[in-house]
Amino acid sequence: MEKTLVSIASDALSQLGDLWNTMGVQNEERASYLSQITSDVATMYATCVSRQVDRKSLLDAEIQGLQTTIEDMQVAMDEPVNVVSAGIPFLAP
Amino acid sequence: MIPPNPPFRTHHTPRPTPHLSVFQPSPNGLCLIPYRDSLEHIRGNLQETWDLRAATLREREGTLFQLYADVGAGIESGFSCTGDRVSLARIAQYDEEIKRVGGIKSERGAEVEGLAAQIKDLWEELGFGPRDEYERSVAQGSFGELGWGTLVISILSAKFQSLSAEKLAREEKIMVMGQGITTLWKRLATPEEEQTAFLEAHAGIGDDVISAVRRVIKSFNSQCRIEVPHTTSLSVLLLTFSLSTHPPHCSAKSICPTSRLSLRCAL
Repeated sequence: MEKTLVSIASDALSQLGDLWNTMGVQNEERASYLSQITSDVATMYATCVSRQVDRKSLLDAEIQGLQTTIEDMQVAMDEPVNVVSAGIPFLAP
Repeated sequence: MIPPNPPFRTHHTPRPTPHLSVFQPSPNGLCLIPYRDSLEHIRGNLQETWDLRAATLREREGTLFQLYADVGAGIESGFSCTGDRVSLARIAQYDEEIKRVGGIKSERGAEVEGLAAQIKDLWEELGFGPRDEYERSVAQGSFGELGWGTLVISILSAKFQSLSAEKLAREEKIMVMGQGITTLWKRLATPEEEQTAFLEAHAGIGDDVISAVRRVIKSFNSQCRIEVPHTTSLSVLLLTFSLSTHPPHCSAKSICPTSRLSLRCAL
């Protein structure tokens, strides 16, 4: 996936260079345009990462909830609390 | 760069729980999603066991509450509700309590049945029958309607004692009347066969026997008046057999020592 993303960026920049050469666009204008693209792409990636961070937080909470539920159930059922103990180190801060 | 798997490791060897699906982490650990799925699987298995045990506890609770109601006892502390424990030990507690209260019910049931049988025997002897719904339940052996409370046993005991007293009173009355009729038979030279036939036809201590004996005595008294109206000794005899005021001496107990006296025994 990363390789594809790099190649897309590379192709896009190559096409832009060709177009700008043909049109005779000045370097300052090219730099400004590339700066805007960089900012847009960074924002888009940040959004993607943020969504996945949220997803991981949700997963962590779900696991914490399941661990608590299982532990409560095992205690109430007088069953050995082995499963949750196994999971605690993973989620410990 | 691909991030490494989360460092999921156990701190100790899990204890075995054979009936549950125990999560066993792989040697390399698990990522969050498969770990969450494993936990969900375990929770599902636990829930299944939980539901079964909860249903068992509800069933035991129903049985126990019915037993408490049957024996008229209050709910013991610790059994007012199943609580939040669904362990096998909790189920065992219910089983133990059911056994204890069930034992009380069995003991009382035997006592109630015994008293009911004695009461029915006395009713039969005295010529009585059930007078109300409660006594009909006793007669029909519908012990479920009577219940197994201590009050039931008290009521039945009181009924039994009352009937026993009535039986004793009748036995004494018949004994006195029997002695009286025997004396009359002797005075009137009543044939042996006639006496025997009367005794066989009037066994027991029921109202019918007492009435029959009263009728015979009355009839004999009339006969005596008609046949020997001027006999001083018979006049005295008739006065003597006014049973309510002058009962003759009782010697029948030496003849029939059992409690089931009949007119025949009394004679």
